[in-house]
Amino acid sequence: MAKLARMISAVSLWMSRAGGAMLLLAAVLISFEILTRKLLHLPFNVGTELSTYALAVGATWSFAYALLQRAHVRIDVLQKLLPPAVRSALDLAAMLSLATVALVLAWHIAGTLATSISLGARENTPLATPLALPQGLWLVGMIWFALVAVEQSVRVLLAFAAGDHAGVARLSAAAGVEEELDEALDDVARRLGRTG
Amino acid sequence: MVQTSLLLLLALLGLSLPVAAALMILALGLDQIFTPIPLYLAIGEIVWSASSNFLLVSVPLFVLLGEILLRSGIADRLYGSMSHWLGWLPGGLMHANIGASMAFAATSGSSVATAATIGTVATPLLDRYRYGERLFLGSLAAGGTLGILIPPSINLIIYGWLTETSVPQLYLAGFLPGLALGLIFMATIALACRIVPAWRGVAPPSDWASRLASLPGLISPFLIFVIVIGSIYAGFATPTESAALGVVAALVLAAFHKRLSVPMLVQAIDGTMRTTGMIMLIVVAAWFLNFVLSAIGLVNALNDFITGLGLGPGGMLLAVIVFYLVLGCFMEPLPMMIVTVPVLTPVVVQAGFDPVWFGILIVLLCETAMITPPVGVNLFVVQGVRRHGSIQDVMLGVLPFIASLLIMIGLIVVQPDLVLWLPRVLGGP
Repeated sequence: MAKLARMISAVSLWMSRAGGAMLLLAAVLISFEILTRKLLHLPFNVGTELSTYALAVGATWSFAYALLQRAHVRIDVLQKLLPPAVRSALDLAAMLSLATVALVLAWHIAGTLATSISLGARENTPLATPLALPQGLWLVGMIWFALVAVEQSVRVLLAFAAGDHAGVARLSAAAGVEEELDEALDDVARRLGRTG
Repeated sequence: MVQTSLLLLLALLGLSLPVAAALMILALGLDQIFTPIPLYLAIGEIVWSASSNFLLVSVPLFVLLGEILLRSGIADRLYGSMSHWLGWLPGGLMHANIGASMAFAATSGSSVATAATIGTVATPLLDRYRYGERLFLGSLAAGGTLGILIPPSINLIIYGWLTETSVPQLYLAGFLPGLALGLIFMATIALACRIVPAWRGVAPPSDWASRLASLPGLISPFLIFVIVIGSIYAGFATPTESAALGVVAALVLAAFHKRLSVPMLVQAIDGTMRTTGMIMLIVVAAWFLNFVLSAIGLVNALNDFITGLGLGPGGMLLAVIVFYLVLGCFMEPLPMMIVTVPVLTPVVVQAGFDPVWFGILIVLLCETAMITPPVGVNLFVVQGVRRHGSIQDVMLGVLPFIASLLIMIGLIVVQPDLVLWLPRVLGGP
């Protein structure tokens, strides 16, 4: 169980970093194009298109990381006032609702991808990118997010079924996860033979 | 229909479901209740169109820009310079907090980044000069909110996207209110220190030589500002392209200050993606919800509903402002904006208000939402960089600045030209 959790946080973290790297590269590419357009009058323009893929892919690839960081905001003002049992039930509902939405999104995104593939849809741009390419990567992120949300729901559900309200609260707050993530980071750093 | 939708939304949010999940479930539910057509079949297409929108690329880029600037070392020098220039005022470094926030806001599109950056530099100085601690913390939380009013601004970009309003126009409109609000914050500090002299603290030592010597500290933020904002009005960059230029410029500056390294970049990326994941999931859900809402004709229904109340434009505006002030106590500003703006803006514009002006009003209400307890993101940020004591200190210290924001909101309602004059004179692309 602990091993699975470590694996999940490490994969989520590195997918999110890959997404961030895409966005950073998009910024560099766009800036480069503006300069060449201005100074050399070379009308390059692929950065606009590629950056939109970086946004779509980077976003879904960061969803699982944001979930593990408990960054998907909830309005818990009312919830805090309730007795522990109800609070736990709402924590569980929150996680289950996120998992459900992730599954619904992944299902429909898969449908969109299937349509793009069957039509051989290409972007109407100089690159004529086959849409299936960015949409495929986009779907990968969404599926991973759905899997992690389901896994997290199972953990909350187990704690809830055991009547462990403190456990549910801990799983639903950010702190425990951060520790896990630190561990995962140390682990990865060790394996890569680096420090920090 | 209006009542059902609103009640469902409040119930789902009140149950503390994640905002994105609440929006998506509401959309699917309304689709079930109000339409014979299965709108959910379009989810994939709609989510793709929002996810791959070029204007929205600027949102993570501005978050990244803020994360890099936070770690680039420009804030120390900027703050040093501001403390030399503004420290002699009654309230000393608290004015530097506001001044530095204003300058940083002109490089950053995020209020969280502004409060975190200036807060990190300023809080260690709190004890040395014996200021009223609460007011000092309040000035940091409030000053930080200027991040989204003074361009560039993530919130103005999202508003522009949601309402199809020109982002360059919105940027121009944010300038004067941004300056005015900064000055009102400073006046609030001076007034508070006049009433309670114990809060005044000691002015940090300064003279003209050190003031002049500190000026280079303003060059870095000024350069970023010129690149990000200048490139738009010089006509060679769109708002998204200007964000990309800003990111590259911030990297160059960080390298110049010898702060650029792989661990620093990784930290900046992690922070960026955490925020991006949060925002984009809500954006995607809200975009589908908007599609459902327009399909079931909710905006028209809301229009009829409000007209039926017989409030008149003034009464309606007051109701909208009160609605946001209350909602802002419990909701993060960006989710609050994304949920409400697409539905309310058409109604407000129909009543004769200018969409650019309304955008600035919404941003001012978002700023208020950032510092109104119990949920205010900037309160948490300032408490986070302070790392001791209770968050109640920040919540109490920020109260005078909430009053300042209400005054500012009143000013632009009474005098819309404060917002609209600059875009009218300068036009803009």
